[in-house]
Amino acid sequence: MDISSDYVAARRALLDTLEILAPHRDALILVGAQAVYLHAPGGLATPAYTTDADLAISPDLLATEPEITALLVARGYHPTSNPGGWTAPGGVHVDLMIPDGVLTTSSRRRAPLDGHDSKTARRAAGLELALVDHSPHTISSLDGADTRRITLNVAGPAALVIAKAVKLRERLDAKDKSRVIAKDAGDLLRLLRMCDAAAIGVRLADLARTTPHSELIGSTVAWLAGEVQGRNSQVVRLAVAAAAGTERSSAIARSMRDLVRRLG
Amino acid sequence: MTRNTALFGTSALLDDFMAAIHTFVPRSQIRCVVHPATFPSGAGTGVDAIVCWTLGPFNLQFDVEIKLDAAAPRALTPSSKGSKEIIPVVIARYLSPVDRRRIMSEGSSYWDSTGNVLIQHAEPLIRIEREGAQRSPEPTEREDRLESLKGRGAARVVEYLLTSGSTTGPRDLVRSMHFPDFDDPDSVGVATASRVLTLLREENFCEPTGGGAIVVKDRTALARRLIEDYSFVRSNRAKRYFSPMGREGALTTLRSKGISAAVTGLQGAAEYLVGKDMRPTLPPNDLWLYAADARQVEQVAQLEFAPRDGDIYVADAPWMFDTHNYYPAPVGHRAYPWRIAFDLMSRDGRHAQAGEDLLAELVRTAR
Repeated sequence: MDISSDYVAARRALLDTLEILAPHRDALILVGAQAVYLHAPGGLATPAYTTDADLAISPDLLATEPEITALLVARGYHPTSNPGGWTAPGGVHVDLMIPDGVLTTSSRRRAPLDGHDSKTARRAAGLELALVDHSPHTISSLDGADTRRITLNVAGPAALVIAKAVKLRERLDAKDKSRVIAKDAGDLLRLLRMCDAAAIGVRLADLARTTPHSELIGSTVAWLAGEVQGRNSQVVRLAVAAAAGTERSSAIARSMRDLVRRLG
Repeated sequence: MTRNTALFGTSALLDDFMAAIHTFVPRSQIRCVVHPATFPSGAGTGVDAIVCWTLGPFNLQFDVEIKLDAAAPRALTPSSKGSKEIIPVVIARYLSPVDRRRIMSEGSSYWDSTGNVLIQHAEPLIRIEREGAQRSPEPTEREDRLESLKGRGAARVVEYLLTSGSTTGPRDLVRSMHFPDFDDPDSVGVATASRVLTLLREENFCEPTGGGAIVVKDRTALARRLIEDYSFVRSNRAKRYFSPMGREGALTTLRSKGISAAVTGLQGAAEYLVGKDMRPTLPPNDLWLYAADARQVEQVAQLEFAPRDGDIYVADAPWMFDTHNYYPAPVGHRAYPWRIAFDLMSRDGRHAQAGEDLLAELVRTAR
């Protein structure tokens, strides 16, 4: 697998962040592209690529101290204008997010956490399953000179499929289309291709039965199934763009429709 | 071609022909045989014998052309077109289906000693047709000659020659290659290798060594000669598939599960060149695989047969994965580079160009 320098830097920043937040590591779950690539390093001919590190926080497991913002600022991290957004000293963007569904309803983006600054983390839709569908993985550096290895909970493929689909839906439905990113559809396709879409479907059905997130799962899968079946599917179009000409668009469309159908 | 009634065997063939005619029409009479020495003046040239045949009120005449060597089909031309009484007929120990079709299309008759018969005449209307052997019971050396390199065996011999550059002979070549189906040096393996080498010698692809070692004169020319007949898809009976996992996903899955499948084509070329710190000329847009077990590959990679638009080709090639019996053995689930080159060259467009580029690189480094 080709590894871009940006991805190497993003992994380095992730490891740095995990070291800094070691006292809270039990409450952290890796989500986003880095989690996707741990499960699905292949799946598309275009190389895995990301420039940031995304961490979900389980509020129930988070200790009230040490205070996260103070820890990060002390190590040279700068908060961005968005709550939960941090710029690491190397320039890599790190996001700390709380699943919207586990917080009390609010129109504000910042996520209140006992004992922590109000801008430490932000609300994010679609990450709810990551709190219940995850498993420990050893995260290692992509830079040969860096020997660090840290064990961290990583969201499972089922949780990541829902997270990616929710993100795509949210951005496609928004008036401002500038945040629609082809890579998200590509990451979704990687997961479906490499993690056995039928097995993900079984897992989602199980999570729908055993967690309070059946509505999220049902509505997201239904939206995705309907979206990709359409002749003018935006998700398929984005996935084709993510493949960057390495596959025929008809093959991507057929693949996406076939695999999404297996989700149930 | 050998055609002369003075030669041994001619009379016996003629006798058998006459006996056969009598068997077909027992009431007829085969009255006389006229050999060339006693031909009446004006008899057709190319006629080796004249056989008179009385069939009821009709006195007919077979103008017989005798072929002792049936392996010269292109030379077969019935000597005389049938007049009212004359039935031109070609007789031989064996006539191939091609020969027979040709003779029939020219309006002539034929008979061979394996039982292939067509006696046709317009007036009186006669049509006797029987089928005998479809392959020569005694193939001659010439008949056994290879005329094409389209088979898998031929490709393997050429692959060996491209890789090694030379061999001392077919037995040595077969021993070196250790073809699993050619383990016995006296088996068909040696025969196949020998036929390929004979063809390559006759077509001037080997250095003249006075009967010594077989040395490839020009590897590029040899590869190009192979692909005149060889095709990755046809010669290996590769099937075309689509996988919802995509090419990359299918390959990653096959490799992660340790399935024996060797890449060739653009993916194989790219992997070979990257391994040499070189940049592939073209990114792969399809995936070609040799599989130890094609059905297993179909299952693991979730392949769906897609003869029109699939981007994954799989050839069932268990022989390639017998590491004790195949030279050169696949390296890291990749076909050997010379094979990758001629596989690519056997297609057209960008594939052929990538094959030529790889071939040039291989020839350069082989020097």
